Amino acid sequence: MPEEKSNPTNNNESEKSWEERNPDIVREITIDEYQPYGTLTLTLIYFAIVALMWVFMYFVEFAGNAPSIID
Amino acid sequence: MTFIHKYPKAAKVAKANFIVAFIALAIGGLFGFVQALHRTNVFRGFFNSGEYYTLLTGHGVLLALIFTTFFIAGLFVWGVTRSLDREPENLTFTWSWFWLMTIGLVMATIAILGGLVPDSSIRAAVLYTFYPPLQAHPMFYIGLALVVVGSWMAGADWFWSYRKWRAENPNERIPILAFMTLFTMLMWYVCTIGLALEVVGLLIPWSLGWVTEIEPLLPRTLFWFFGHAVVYFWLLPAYYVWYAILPKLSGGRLFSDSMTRIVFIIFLLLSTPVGYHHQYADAGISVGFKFYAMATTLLILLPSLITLFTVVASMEHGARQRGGKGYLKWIGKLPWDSPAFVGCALAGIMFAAGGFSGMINASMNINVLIHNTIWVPGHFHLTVGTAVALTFMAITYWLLPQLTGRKLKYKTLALIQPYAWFLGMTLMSNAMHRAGLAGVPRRTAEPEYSGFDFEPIFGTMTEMKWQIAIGGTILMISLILFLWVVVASWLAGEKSDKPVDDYIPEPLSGVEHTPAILDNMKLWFGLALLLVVLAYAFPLWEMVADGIFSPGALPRPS
Amino acid sequence: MHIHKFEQFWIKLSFVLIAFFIVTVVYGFVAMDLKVIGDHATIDPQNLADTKFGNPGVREVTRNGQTEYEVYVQTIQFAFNPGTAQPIVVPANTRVTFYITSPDVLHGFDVAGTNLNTMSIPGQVAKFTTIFPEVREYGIVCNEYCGPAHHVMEGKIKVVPKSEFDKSNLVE
Repeated sequence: MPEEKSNPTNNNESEKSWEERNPDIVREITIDEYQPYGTLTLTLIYFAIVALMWVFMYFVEFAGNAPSIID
Repeated sequence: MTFIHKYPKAAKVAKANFIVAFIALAIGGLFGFVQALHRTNVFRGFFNSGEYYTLLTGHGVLLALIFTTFFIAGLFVWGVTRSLDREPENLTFTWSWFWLMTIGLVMATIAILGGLVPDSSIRAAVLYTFYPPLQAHPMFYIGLALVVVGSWMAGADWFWSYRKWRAENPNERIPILAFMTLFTMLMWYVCTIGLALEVVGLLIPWSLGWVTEIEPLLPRTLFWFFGHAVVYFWLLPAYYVWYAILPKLSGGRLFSDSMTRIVFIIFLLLSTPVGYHHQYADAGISVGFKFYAMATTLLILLPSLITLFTVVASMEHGARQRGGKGYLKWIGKLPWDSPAFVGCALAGIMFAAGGFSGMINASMNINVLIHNTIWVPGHFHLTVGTAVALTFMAITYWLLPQLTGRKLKYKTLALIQPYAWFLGMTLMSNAMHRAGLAGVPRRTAEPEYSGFDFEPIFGTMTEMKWQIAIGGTILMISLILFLWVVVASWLAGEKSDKPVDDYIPEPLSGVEHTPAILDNMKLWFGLALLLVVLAYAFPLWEMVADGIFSPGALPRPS
Repeated sequence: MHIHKFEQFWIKLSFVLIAFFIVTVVYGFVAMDLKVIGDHATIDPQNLADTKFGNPGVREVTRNGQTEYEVYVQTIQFAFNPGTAQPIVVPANTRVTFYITSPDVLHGFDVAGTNLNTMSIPGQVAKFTTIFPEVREYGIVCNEYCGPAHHVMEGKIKVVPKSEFDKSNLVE
């Protein structure tokens, strides 16, 4: 958001990046070094859960719930 | 300096919208609590079972239509003002949409609550879907129409700001907060065409007695033209918070500006042509159209799955900047002691679960397994009832200090609140899903039948009943905590120049990487209209070809 | 445009998931006979008396040399006719086609614990065919809000062995 650049809290701090100003942040990670392995792991776990639950819901819960609409 | 000091006029508008939103939340939430106890037969002493449907209408309208719309208006006023760096262009216009929406809401609410007065002719126990031939008092429909017209004016207000800003900044990219606002409103304009045709074209003249007969399928279809896109009208502002603010609350930056814009564009394109998926069990709509709706509905999973990745990656970026390591251990480094962060994060987790039940709802034939069972409210209490509502409550903890210039009070209570909501909703919603699989219907005051018993596949009916009642009670407690923190901070929070860290860092992959075509609103709006015509022109024509009011049914009192 | 390779991979996987859902639905629809109702016929809800709905109940028909049954049901505020006052009796393991409509407001017709679940909309005839595999009783629930006594609207289907099916209650 470009408007943020002209919006520093004071002039000394405006030289520093947001990460440097924030005491909770121990190191700044740039886009080139950032590899979201954790996100990939979580999304793959989600994918597996959803696919398995889908198969269960469709072929066991639904298909096994006769009588069904056949026509 | 925070928002209220820089933009005092916009702050006032946003606050007015929030006040209305929170009053609606308080009343609607209380109705929900009463219903949880009534339905489960834990306590039926407040109202009788006929009045239950008046409360249910109030719960749906006040929360799903009023709380959301007003909160979203406040949120967007904040975002548009801040990201375009300008106050509203004309305050008379701005306040006129606010008051129009408010008058509409009061009319609709009076019509609904009239149902609690014995022998009242003013009633609207038609639920928030108001399917004819059940007929509400005309004031109900006129009130809702005013809310929608007001929301159109609000959108026009933001486009007005945008055009003025564009004239002064011809070469700038649309700031991301404004981009998300404008695309959400474009989608709103597309989908509310259906609602306007239904309410203004059919229901208002019919409720005033100018026409006596109505064809029930036509307004129902027009309602769902609007009715699924409206869930994205609630959801996209939650996404707006997750994309724009949650990364910073996590200690990181938004992963990708481009993906954010692409996601909003896909929602604009696909939100409306999916409406038939609420009508899989309807006669009068051919299987081919239902299949088309299923394909588009499942495609609309895509932007939500992209959101899952982009938002989680932004949070992971924060966690790693805060010293997080490993494949999953970084999750522990997120700020689990910050109320605003916790609310958004827990809302996101609930949305992942609600997403799965939504996939079942969307998938044509398997939908009959759960159609109109309590599974469906189980689903949308995860989505609108948590992903949206809990995000809105959580971000209030961060926005309110900016709008009032006062620090948040009772931070411990504010921290307990989202965890309590999560717990209450976990209990209530899992039981509702499982009860739905056993065939227990939604929208009923007494789900007990004399001739047969439900046979649950997982768990027992007694255990589910208690999970719903206890879950609903915990939700009520959480809601009281929220309102208490908000009112106390608003009235008595410590005044400060910088009541909260309101800085939003730039994305990791910024707008410089984003193709310019993504900002072409005319192109995307035109395509969205085209997709709607492809989906709806033929089936609607089939319904009206034999006469708009035919085959006609007579009105029935609600 | 800058899209991280993990995210590109996730987007491809998302398409796989979406395609997988659509393929399952089509497979169920075509190969497993798991259908949805479609467009059958419109009807004047104020003149059901002149149609088969005027004399609702179970009818015997012969289709392709097979004996089948048709069930006409009116959903009214707040009962199924038939279904509420007396159960709908049908034989097991036989094709049964339901025709359902409403003279007043929207209702639901859900055979609890099964996949038989449809809306009943004034002006539209909902039509579906099924085969009941088991001899047992089922509850019917109205699962669309239809007015202040919606919660009392229930009915019953009684599935009897083919050999014990009593044809004297059929309607003409």
